[in-house]
Amino acid sequence: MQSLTNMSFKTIVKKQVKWKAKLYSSALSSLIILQVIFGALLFSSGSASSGHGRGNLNVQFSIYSLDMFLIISALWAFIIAILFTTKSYRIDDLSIISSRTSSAIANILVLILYSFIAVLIMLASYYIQIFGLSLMEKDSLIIDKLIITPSIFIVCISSICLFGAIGLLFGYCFQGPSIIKISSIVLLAIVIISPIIFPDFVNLQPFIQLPDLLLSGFYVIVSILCFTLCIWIADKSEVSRK
Amino acid sequence: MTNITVLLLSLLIPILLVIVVLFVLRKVSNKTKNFWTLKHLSIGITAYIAVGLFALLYLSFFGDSSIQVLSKSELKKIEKNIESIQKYDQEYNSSFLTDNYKKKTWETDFLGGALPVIINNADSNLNIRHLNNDNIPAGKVLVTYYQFPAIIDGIDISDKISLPNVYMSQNQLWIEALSRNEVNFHRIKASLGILDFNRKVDLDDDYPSTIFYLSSNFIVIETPRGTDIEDSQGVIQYLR
Repeated sequence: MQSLTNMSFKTIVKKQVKWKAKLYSSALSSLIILQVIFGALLFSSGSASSGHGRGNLNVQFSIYSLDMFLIISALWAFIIAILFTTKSYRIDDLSIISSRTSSAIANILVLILYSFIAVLIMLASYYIQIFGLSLMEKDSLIIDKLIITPSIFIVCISSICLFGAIGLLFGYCFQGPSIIKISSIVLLAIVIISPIIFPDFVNLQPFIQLPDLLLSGFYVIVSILCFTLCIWIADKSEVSRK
Repeated sequence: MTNITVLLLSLLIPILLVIVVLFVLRKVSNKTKNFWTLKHLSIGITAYIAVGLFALLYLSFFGDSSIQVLSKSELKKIEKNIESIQKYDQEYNSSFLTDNYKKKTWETDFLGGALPVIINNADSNLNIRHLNNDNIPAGKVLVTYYQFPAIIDGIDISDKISLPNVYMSQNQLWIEALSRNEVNFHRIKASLGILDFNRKVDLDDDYPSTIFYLSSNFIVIETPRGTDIEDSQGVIQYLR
């Protein structure tokens, strides 16, 4: 602790969450810019397409789903979470009363809050793209499903949260004791190399086929596991300016 | 390249793009720090979400599509109808050729008791039939194009199928299918395609959403009784 003032742990975390949520808000503006760029790039093609050729007729369907916006948001969460653990962000922690553990908990809470806002930004980007499309391609527009279901909304939040949690864990691993650093590098190498060497080893089909809520539940459990590990590593780390 | 390598590459490219954009933004934000205060950022983010909400409301109230996705019961009805058309055609029965499906009629004259018919692009799956019609005076020929429903992914695309060129030249009837035609549709599905695709939502349904038989269009040549059709390519069938 940097202060001798008697403050409860809960109050410290609360103050840090408020402080960090304000301090890192530029991260959300970067998500908007990313979504606008990718939305513009995929404006005419959509997230996927399918084609049917019969006789002298070729029918092409450009499908506008949430996939690409979700992938971009998840990657953004992953990178932003890593950035939260970098030196420049850690120095900001010195401006307020904090310990490594309270800082880690605050980071987690900010990440969860940002995941929720990221889904709102993602949906805004999607509907702005569709709005533009409805003005430009009115004659060839087919509306199958306009309103997102609550279960898909939950899947989106939990997916972004999961990638954020992995990013945060990834960042904390490289700050922790040497044994954690080495085991993280080995684990990372296995994760990257094994699908290339043993392509049949990785089979995500059973997970994808789970119902939306069960899939979200699985993501939440993995996220909680990552967050717990983050707090544990932060607790083991020494307080330093490195 | 294996599927996993393609998957890794397709993930790496967006990651790299995201990193590049974030890097550029960080550099730019250092210069625009004075402008992008917390207040301005909050206003910007809220405004962006509000614009998205406005877009959703606009689409909900005014975003009606002129193209309708057919319901299961409609698809069932159409499939039954097309099956009966095929049955009639196989039995050389012309009663399936009703005015509802008539798209265009060409009326032309010819000389002599036989009409040579030439079909260009014979491989374009045009169904050409010959029918004797007692009401047509000698030396006249009627060519009628019938278009039956053609459904792809629940959408009736029969209106998008272009008509063939039909004309008389050197006392020969020419039927020319148009060159390859491409139609593009934009489908809005506010869900996650990767989940829908892998769960095979459409395939699990009791009914197929694509009903497109090669017999979805017919060109019928009507001549007075006693007129012969010279079909050197052997693609014309007769109807009663």
